[in-house]
Amino acid sequence: MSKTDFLKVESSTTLILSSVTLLLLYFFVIAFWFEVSNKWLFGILMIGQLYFLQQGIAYMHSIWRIPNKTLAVDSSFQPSVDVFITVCGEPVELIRKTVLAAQAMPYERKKIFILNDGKVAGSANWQAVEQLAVATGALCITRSISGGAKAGNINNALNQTTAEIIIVLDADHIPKPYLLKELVRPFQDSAIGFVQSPQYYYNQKQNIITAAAWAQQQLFFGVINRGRSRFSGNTMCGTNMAIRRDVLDQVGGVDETNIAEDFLTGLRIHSLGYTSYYVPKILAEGLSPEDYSSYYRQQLRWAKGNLEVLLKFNPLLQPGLSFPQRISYFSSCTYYLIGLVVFLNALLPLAFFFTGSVPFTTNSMVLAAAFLPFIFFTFYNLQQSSNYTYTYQAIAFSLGTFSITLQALVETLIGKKRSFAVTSKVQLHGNYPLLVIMQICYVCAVLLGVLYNAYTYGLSPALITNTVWAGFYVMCFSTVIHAAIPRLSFILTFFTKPLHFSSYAVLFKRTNQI
Amino acid sequence: MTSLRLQILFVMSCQVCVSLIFIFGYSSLSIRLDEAQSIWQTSGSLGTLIESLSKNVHVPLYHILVHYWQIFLGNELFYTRLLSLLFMLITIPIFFFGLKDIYGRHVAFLATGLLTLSPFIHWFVSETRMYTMVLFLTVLSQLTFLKLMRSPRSELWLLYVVVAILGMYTHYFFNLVLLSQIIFFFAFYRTCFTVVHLQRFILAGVLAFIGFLPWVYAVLQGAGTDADPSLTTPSSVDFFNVFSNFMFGFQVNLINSYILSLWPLLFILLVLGLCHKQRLKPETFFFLLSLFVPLLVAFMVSNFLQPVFLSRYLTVCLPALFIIVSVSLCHYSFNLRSKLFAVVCATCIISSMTQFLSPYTPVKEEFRAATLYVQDNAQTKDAFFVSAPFLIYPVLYYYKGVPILRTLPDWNRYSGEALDSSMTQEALDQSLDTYVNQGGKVYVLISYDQGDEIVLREHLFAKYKHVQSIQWSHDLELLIFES
Repeated sequence: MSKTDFLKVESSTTLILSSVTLLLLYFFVIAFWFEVSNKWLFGILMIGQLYFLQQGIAYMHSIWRIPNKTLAVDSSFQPSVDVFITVCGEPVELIRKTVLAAQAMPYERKKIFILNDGKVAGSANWQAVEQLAVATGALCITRSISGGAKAGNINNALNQTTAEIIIVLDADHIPKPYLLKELVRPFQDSAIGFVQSPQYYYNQKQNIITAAAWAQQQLFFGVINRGRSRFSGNTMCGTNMAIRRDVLDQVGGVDETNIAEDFLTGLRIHSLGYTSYYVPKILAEGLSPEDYSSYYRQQLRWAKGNLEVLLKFNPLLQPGLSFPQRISYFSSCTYYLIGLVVFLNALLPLAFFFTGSVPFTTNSMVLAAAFLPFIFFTFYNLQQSSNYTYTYQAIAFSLGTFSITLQALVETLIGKKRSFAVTSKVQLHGNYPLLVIMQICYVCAVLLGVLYNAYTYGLSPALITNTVWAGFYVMCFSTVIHAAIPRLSFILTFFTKPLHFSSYAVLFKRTNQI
Repeated sequence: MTSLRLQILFVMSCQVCVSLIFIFGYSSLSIRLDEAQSIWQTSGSLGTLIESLSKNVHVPLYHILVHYWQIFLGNELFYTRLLSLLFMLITIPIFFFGLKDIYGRHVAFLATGLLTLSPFIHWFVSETRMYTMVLFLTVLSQLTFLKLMRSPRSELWLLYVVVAILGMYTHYFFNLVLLSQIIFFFAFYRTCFTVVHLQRFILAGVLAFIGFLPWVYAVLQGAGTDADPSLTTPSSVDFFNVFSNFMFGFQVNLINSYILSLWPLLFILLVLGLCHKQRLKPETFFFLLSLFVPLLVAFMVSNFLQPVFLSRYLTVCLPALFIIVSVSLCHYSFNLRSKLFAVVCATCIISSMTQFLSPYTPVKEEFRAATLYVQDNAQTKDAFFVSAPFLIYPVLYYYKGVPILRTLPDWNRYSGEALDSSMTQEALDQSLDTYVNQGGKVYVLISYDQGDEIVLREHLFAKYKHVQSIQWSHDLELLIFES
């Protein structure tokens, strides 16, 4: 497999239509075929089914006829470009690689800026970053007044620069020489507001977390974004992207009110009627979170940002967006309800084990007859469309990290503020059992539940079926538990070695505003 | 040892394994109703055989083979069953090397291993019926078809046509094998076939159709069937039972319900299998079609036209299932694959032993023990009846007792008249009053899955004094009364 396989995507109309048909059939079987037994459990089940129905159809809509646009090349088109490398306490050596690579990009009318937020974030190396700028010949803009996190940093730089096109790179995203040319070229079309390219992780093979994080990214930056470019529904992703300055000015700069500042800014640009363009090429290579704590922070920020957008700026109601764009933004936001859905669905076997209650009664195999073809076609479609890059780890992490998105949902609903937390660029070594405490509790509850049910009611086909369902969740959750608690000696050392309690601040505290 | 030698050794081991299971196990089981009927039908003249088959639900080739087989080896049950074993023994190497050619040796080893250990296969290897022959022709047809896809040589086309005709003459369900191939051909025409393929495929179809026309004519002349099997409309449980039967044989209802309740496991295995970074080959789609097209067609026909849904008729799906399972297993890591395969094999072996040993196995028909019991205990003044009347075939195979064996309702199997299995009180009383002697015992061997035997049972209990009931196997009961 080559590293660009995730971009070589294709879709099959037959497969999509089959998948949608079977998805609808399965939904109607669940909704109407059986006799409802426990209406509360049935309601819980239906919430999950509605969610998967919506996500499934939105995905099929995204990948319906993936476009293969080629841009007309006008070599005389050379707008002025400012490259913003956003920095907030990352290791200087890491920043140096990015700055040097940016400088090496062949383009006459470019300026490289290091947007140094280290000072306001209280990082020890903020002065070293300034020295790096001097040493490499890059320009450095160091903020002294905090506010707005990464968005504030970019907006601050916007006031001090003048180029027509802004390119944003995270400190760890080392650009390829052709990045500038690829990102700038689409702006020949004056309707284009921003251009996005994939966020590639070069450390993907380091451990289970980097592999899973990359597998999740592959689907999004591969088939989903390629498909969404059909209707200009690409979301802005904060790095490896280019924005037209005057468009950014029209939306009031990068949005500082939301921690998913890039996502909301992209939505505002689309609302003004501007289009976007997706470059399906790896133009920069960055770092994935390497430990569970960093992954947790990153996912929590994304989830909370998206859920806030859903509640405050419901994309379905945003004026100026086309219908496909509304669907696309809406499904991006609602994706992060997965934590709630997984949590509720995982409770169903437990409800059976401890109370004997089930959502509906059935003596037939109709459920299997509807579910198995649906799931086969859906998964095969997912794999075929993503060029067989979606992995079990991606599924396990999508489902197994339900506690992250659940926490994000709760915080969003109660209005708890959370500031922008930069994803760590160095691996934190340690075990984080508290970050997966819900998953651990679930595994224990399943074990107890099976024993309790078998003891109370005896062995029954329903017990076997529910045990296998619970087993699927246990399997996914165990993958995440293993990732969060990598040291096998953990059980023995739980009470003897200090744990990294500082990392749990993410659960309970607001991080310092920058 | 070279790889090829190892493979040959494996194939021979599989053949020996199947043979040993047959010789020291399943061949000792009592004759079954269907095979007794086949042996009786094929023991007459060829003309009578073809005439009776043209009115039956089966095509004639297997019965013609059994006819000549009996001429050479006699109608001893062990020897008539040997024919089924023979077909299985030649299927194994074809299956293994054919799959090795398509998927490589790993899939070939796994699939052939499953085929060898399948309790379903063990059952039908020891039955004088056409199912292993259907299996053999299905495998040959499917592998030839796939071989043609890659190298459309003339001799292969000839083989394909011959196998298609033989298959059509062996079981009506073989047509579903051909239907799957037609669907695959047109679905994958652009990616896998050329115009030359299309021309020859049409020609092959025409030749096969022409080859089958004589039998169509014979059936039309025979004007319908005189022995529609009494099948029920299949439910979704029956649909999944086919898979359970193929993998784990025929188990009692409780065990079967436990097996079926494991169905979400398929979801987990499916997810794990599909998450492998590998495209499915067109051949895999072919086997998926070969598995599901016959199943779905049979299910639909059974629900909307006439019930024809039986796992043994669907033997045509069995090779595809084992291939799909093996291909899926090969998508997993070696470690997981080995463990899963070991679990499946162990389950198959245990299932086969249970199927063989348990008196409650649903397909078991213990005619021998029941007949010998009557033979040893019935006196001259006693009467011995079987119901449904078809039971006369397996019972007569063993019966050498004193009372004359009769059927309820009264039926002359030589008359050629259609059998009316519905029972009226008057007809029953007429038979019973004619043949039962005052003071003698009445032995009635009843099989409950053939017709209105519950009515008969109630009538007998009302008419005579019940002495004893002996359950011989799942649906076979001997009732003893005093007149």
